[in-house]
Amino acid sequence: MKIRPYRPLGVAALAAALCLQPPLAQAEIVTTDQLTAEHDRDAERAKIQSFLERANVRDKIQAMGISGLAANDRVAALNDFEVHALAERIDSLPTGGNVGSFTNEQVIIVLLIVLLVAVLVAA
Amino acid sequence: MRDRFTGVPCADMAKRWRYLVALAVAMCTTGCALLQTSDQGAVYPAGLPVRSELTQVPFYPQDDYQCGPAALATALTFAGVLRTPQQLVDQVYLPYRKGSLQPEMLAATRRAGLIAYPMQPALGAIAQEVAGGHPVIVMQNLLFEYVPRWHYAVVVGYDLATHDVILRSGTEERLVVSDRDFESSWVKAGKWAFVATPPGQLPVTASEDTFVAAAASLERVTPDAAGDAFRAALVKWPGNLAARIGLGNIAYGLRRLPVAEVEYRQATVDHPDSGDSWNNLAQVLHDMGRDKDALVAAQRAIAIGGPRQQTYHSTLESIQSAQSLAPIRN
Repeated sequence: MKIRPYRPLGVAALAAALCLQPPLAQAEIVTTDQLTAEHDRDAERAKIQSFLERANVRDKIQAMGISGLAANDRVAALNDFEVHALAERIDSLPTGGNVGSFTNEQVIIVLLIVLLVAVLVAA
Repeated sequence: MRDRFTGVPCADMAKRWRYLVALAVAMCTTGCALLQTSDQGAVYPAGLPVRSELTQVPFYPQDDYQCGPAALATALTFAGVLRTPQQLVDQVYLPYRKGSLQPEMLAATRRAGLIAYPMQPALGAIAQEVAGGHPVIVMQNLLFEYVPRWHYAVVVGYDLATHDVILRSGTEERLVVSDRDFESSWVKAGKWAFVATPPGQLPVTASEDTFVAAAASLERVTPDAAGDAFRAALVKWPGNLAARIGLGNIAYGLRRLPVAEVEYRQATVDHPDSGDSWNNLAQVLHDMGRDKDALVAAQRAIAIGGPRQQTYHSTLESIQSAQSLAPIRN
């Protein structure tokens, strides 16, 4: 019988989940966040969704060059609405600071314009 | 139709290209023209001083790509929390994206114990904040809509007579641009702006709901500072429910149960129809061992109902199970 290999990814995910777990002691208190949330969603579902999204955003921030501990702190300072926005579209949200560099998409657009001009000149 | 487009000679092809280009140019110029008319004469509220400039706002010239940390350090330091851009790189900068995300700019402001108040999208509101002593962090798009170049800067002044906006921006300590140019770069970034203010101080343009929501976001990061913000909100809007419950929640989190009880009870007086107030009151009474009173409050919450019913029911259940255990314990 084969011994199941050690899975560092799974263990890491579990550890991350445990780190992000909300304190159970306050389970029966309605938080101020919940009161000011714009949508009256089902509270329990919203809590679970936010919990999962936080883990997701944490991983994404880490993948963008931030250490695990720093990523934890960064996600902890976001509110649920912001976490949701980042979980949905962190890749398409603008990052201020790109002065002097171009993204791949921009390079393609410039190449297309050059091509267009070339075609026009040739015609 | 399809036949016409197969085997088109080169000349026709070029004509079609020219047509497309002409169309694109036409669309673009119409777009620009529309933008200009809507920009003409930015609307400023009446009673605003003709000019205002916060000359005391510090300047941190940005390093490569790091206008986010630089703009943030500028605003935080002016608000009384000394930070250098280098200290903020770990909090807002994303190396692989060579920039900073907007939500993280707000989050880092909270980590400094300040309110991150998202501004209403109006140049007039920015001017009001500057006149009231609050520099405004803005996002701009310095290039085109489809070829963006995102940038953070800090508005520190304006002049209605000369139609100028004054910024700390990148490596420019005092950048003066026309309000029209500024607004067009700001519109292309979705008119995104916020102020970083000490929690006990309301932004000039603060609206009740937005401010209290900003304070609630602060509560999860720096509860002490959020307490100041809730108190400031209650001075201006005495009946605000979320601010009152927020004060109770902060006390509850610190296990100052009698203080929490006072705040929750006040919330039930101000808003007898708020199930959340009764629920939280029930919980704190239960924690203090006053289960008879707790039971009444929990039943009140359930009778009111609402989207957080499930929480009310678990509060009731934990009180009831404690009561049923009590005789055995005795």
